[in-house]
Amino acid sequence: MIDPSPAPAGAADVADAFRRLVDNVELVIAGNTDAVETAAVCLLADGNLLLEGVPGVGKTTLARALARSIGGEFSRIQSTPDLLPSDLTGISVYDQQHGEFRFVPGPVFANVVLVDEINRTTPRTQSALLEPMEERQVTVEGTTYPLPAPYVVIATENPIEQHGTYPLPEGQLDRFAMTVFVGYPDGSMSRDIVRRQLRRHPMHDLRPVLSPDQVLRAQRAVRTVHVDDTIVDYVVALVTATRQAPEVALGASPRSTVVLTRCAQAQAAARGRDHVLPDDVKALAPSVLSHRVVPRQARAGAEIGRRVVGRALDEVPVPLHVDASPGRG
Amino acid sequence: MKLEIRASAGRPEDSIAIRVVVAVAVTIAIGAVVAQPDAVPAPVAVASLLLAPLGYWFSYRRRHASNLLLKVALSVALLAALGQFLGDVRSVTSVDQARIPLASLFLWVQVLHAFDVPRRRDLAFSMVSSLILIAEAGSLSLTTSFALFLLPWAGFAGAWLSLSAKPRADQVAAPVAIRRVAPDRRSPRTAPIRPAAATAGLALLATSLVFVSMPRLPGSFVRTPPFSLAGNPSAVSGFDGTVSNPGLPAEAGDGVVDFSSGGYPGFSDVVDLQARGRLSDDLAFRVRAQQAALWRAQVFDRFDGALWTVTHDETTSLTPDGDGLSVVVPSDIALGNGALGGGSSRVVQTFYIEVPQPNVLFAAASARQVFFPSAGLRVDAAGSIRSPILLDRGLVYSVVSEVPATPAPLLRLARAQVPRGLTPYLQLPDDLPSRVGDLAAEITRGRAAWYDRVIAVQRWLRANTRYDLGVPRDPEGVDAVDHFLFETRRGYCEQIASSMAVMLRTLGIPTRLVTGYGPGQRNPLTGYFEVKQSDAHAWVEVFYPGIGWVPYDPTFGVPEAAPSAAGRFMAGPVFAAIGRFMRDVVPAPLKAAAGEAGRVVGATGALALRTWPVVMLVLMVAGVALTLARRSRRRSHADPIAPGEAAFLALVDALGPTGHVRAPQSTPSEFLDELAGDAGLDADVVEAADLVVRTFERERFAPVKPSEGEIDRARDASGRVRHLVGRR
Amino acid sequence: MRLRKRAIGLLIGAGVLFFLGTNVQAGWLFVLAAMLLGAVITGFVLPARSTRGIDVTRRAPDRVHQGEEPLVDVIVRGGRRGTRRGLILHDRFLEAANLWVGTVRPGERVEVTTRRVARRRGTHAPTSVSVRSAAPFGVAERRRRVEVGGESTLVLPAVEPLGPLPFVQPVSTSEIAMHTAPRRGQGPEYLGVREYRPGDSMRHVHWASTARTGVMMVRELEQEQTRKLAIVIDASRDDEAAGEAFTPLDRVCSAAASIALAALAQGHGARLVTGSSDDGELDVLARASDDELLEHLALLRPVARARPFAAVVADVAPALRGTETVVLVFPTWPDNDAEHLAPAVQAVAESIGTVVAIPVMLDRGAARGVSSEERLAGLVQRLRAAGASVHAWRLGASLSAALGEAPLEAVSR
Repeated sequence: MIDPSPAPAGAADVADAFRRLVDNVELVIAGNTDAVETAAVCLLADGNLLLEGVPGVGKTTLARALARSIGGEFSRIQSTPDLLPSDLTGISVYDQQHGEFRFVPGPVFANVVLVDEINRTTPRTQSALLEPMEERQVTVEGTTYPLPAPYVVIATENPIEQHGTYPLPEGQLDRFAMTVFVGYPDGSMSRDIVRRQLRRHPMHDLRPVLSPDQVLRAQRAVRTVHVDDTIVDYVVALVTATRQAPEVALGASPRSTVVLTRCAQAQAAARGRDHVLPDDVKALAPSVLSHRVVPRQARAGAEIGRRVVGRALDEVPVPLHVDASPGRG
Repeated sequence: MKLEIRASAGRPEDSIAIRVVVAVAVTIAIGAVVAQPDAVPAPVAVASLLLAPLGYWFSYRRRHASNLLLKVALSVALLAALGQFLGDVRSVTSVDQARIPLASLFLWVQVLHAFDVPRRRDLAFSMVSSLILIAEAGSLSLTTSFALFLLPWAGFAGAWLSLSAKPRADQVAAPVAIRRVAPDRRSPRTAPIRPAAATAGLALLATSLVFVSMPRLPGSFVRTPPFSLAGNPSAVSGFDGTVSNPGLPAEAGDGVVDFSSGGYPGFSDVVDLQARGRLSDDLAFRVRAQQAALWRAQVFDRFDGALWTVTHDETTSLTPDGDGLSVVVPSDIALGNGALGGGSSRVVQTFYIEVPQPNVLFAAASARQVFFPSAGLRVDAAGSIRSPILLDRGLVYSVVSEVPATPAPLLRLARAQVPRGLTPYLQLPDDLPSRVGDLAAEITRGRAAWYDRVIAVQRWLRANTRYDLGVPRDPEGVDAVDHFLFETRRGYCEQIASSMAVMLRTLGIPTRLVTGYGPGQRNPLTGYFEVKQSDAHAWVEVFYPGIGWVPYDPTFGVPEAAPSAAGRFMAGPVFAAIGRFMRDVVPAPLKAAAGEAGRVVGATGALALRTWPVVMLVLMVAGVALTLARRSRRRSHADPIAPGEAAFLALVDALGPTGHVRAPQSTPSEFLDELAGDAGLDADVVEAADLVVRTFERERFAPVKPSEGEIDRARDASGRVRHLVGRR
Repeated sequence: MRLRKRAIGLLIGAGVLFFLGTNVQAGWLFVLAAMLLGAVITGFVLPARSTRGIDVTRRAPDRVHQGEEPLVDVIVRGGRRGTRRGLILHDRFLEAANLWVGTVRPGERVEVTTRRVARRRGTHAPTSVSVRSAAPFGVAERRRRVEVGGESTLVLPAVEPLGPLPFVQPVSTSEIAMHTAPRRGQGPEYLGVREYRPGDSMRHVHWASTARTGVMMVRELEQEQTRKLAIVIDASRDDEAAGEAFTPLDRVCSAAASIALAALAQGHGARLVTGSSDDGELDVLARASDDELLEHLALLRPVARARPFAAVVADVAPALRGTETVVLVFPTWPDNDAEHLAPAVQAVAESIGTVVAIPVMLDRGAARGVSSEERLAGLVQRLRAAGASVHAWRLGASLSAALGEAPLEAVSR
């Protein structure tokens, strides 16, 4: 049930909201706690989420469960190759009755937008999502329409090795705060999953546990989590390290340092802390940075990105104090 | 120096460091050569010092060009220098005189070569020729101050060896990228210096070991030893073969000519045993010779109780040798004064005069051939050579001598019979007390051979008399030798030598007094014997029938005429030089303190042996204190550390023995998890570690810092961990 | 421990100086000689320390095509104490290279990235590295072999991108999407929607988009798989190329890979026949993804006592059902002459529609006696007569050029 508490949220409140959210989603998704928690953190960090995994592990279910847990408007877009940009953003329609053009909003106008199998639609259509994801607004024929708050785009993606796919361009990938890999559920939970779904899909019974207002407040509270200079140095060092691997054509962008810091704040708040620890950064770095690394060899795949980030985590030392001398590189 | 016209193949060397090193090394080498007196004329010196570095800079700038015109110009210049050299050398009579034009030519070659060194191999040629220049300078140098050139040159040569050991760019794969990740931000600024210093130290050690184990063998390559004048000679007015010693002071009131700091009364026509005074320690001259010897000047045969004089002081003039470069001592004089049979060593000596000396030549006995930069030498019957000019500073002359090297068994076999012409050498003063003769007979009782008697007298004098420069003048009217032997037993080398001569004469052994200089100290680096004014000396020569005159020195001993194998090595002179250095350089109070310290150490050692448990305790405490001090010193170099972090670092330190090492890329929490996962650790340890980590994290990352009390608790926890871990 | 030239030079110099010093009796020359010898001794002793205690790992891509120049990282980690100087690593992984590492401080990590040309096909296991140092003076060089951690690299045959294969039925043009994987032809699928161009079939109009946008839009279809293709290669022997060039088997594998990948990209499945056993059983690789295909070709080595190529060809027709095009890729070994091949090709051509022969020209030295061009002309004539279209791949030419030539009298039934 929604708890309508109007007071400004602190870290403890964020932790509470997080816990409620995760527990609610886990009613529907079992055996993928890490993915669920990371997705919830992404939401609290006000970032867009990209879910990856082979078909059938529950990516769409996870996204829908998240969407339903926070109430608000939800829209689902199934990507097909014949999808046009205007199908996403909306079009101006001539209203014969009133003799004027009327804007009919497209499915991106919602609190939670689920774009399923985003890599099955053409890059032209994918780029229609850039503006909503980054700037939270849509410009159609010169007029700008704001999108509701809170706003999150959750996209699912089949691995690129599969057929009939269009890999997401770098600019698009950079707009996703995190990539969460949804794998096969734990063995022990597999039986549970089948049992649960046999009678009636639990999704139908899922009720929201947070209101959009509470989500907004939680997101604002996340911004106030204390970030020490050493953490910032660490994040910068990690991102710099990803740029220097020789198999990388393009490393993580400067935007990713801000994103990683924000996600670390969300992680800290989710654990009930009012300050970020380097552990938070380390835990989230693969999710935040892997997909932003562009490998030199075109056919490399996501492996390279994860490997580069893993190596950076292994090599960049965790600073215990602020370094007065200029950082090594 | 390449004289080819086609463009040279091979990559030009782009490294500036190598060029700078080579240019500096070559300039130092050139500087070493021109710093030697009279090595090259001044304009050549200045020009080469300025042009050499310029040449290297120029060839660096033009290293990629084909430089055809330049090579032609350099070839022309080289031919011009060669022509100049041939012109200079045409009027030269000896190899030695060709030295200066040769050195100039070589400098020109070096400087011209410096303008065309594009490749690494050319720079290597430059280094080799700088080695030749340094070697040339070294062979000319007389003093230890050459080290001022040699050490820097060696440093740069070592640097060149290091830099040129790095492979050329075409010998290794061209990398796409090279990244260096330094481990510790606290790497000291002196880090690059330490390995270089270690290498230099090792090289120095290796060099010293090799140097000390290098044998010095006699060489026979040089046919004409050097001789030259520096500046205008000071002629002896009215030279007639007598010795003129301008350094002597005026007579003292009682008719005695004393020592002056620069004048030894022994170099005159009398040796007065009443003369007192001290000679200075200034360097008189240097001798280049392959072995030490007594540098003999004059011989005296008649003693009257206080003075030694020469009975027959006629001199004959010495005639030049066939090639006109040297004069030969007439063989009757030479043979009559040296060892005739029984073996001798041929010693080539070159004397480099530092302080003006009288006009008598110093040489090892007995001189056979003299290379002197002036004609008109005269020699007396005893082989003492006089010159028409005083020996001024900068004068160089050489002597080839035959030094008697008869082994003792042969000497023992000499017939104890005085040849007729040598009776003057048995002369004794009329009023010589008989106890002198009695003493001599007593010393040599039981010995028949002259050799044994001579050795016995010498040994007795060494054991029973003391060399002392502080003795006062003898009282009036006493015989100097008698007074010395029975009253004072202390005196100058003149008294000691005179005593030996007189005593041997009482035994019927022909003996005479000789003055000159002692061998001096061998400088291990330059190889020269450095003879001081105060080395002026007197000793005796004893005649063995069938063999000849053999020198003996009752004061200090005669250097071996045939040095043994051990004497060939420089270890002896090196340690002697070090000893002298310490003695001279270390100030007296320090030496006294060192002596005291030595005594104290000895006493303490004895005490320690008796009370060793206390000593062990003291050492342990000292060790602990040192370790703590070192750790805190390391700490204090760093930036001030926050207390929470300090506690955390102490925790990590304390857990070192358990095998848990905090990797730099792990967070404090991860480190804690690792500890918690170790079943072998006590729960107390993990709990205490948990407290420390949590406190540190709050101090570092949280907006609200932990309180003083909490920090103290963390510190205690850290200490507890150390205690707990230490107990396992 | 190897002495460098300068050690000899220094020793000779020391000897000369000693000799001169003895004869001229100048003490400083002995000092100089001692310095030269001291430098030699120091240069002997110190390199041993430099080569000890370092740790080397290597990073390389796990797959690379023959002839490519991938980046290879070699990472050197210094020991705990002591600086190591003048390090050179001799690494023979993929291609022999001397890597200058230089000075490594204690605990420092140095990464050297170089490009190596992948020369030989197959699996390259991580080899050990020879660490050499001649520091500080370059007098003597010490070498030490260090085992290197890292992964193997598989070198795949060089693939030349070919356009549409001339011997396969041409298909309608389509807007090729940005694909990283070939299609296996799973039936008609949308590639996307684009604006109508005159000439497009009205059947392909996408009415929903047209209604939404008001502009005529047509849909793009993926093509279906049409023909069945078999590539038969001669892997019976190989000749070690001198140094640089690819071996004949390398070129055969490269041709086979290029053709197979081009076919797969166009939607055709390709089967690869690499030889046969004595009882006529063919070694066939079917239904392989392009990765599996490349890997198979990368690891292909001549088998001892392999059946001759002509025999393999003769067995193709009865063994491969449903094949419509057979491509024969073989080097012009002396055994692959017209006498042996023509009858086999004839037999194949009788039952299979299209036969394409691609003789891979050998280096001049490999052909005996008769000049290659003459032999080739004879072979081409005979094979043509037997019913195959022949594209000769000469040395130095590109495969696409060879295939692009007018197929000397393409005969299809």
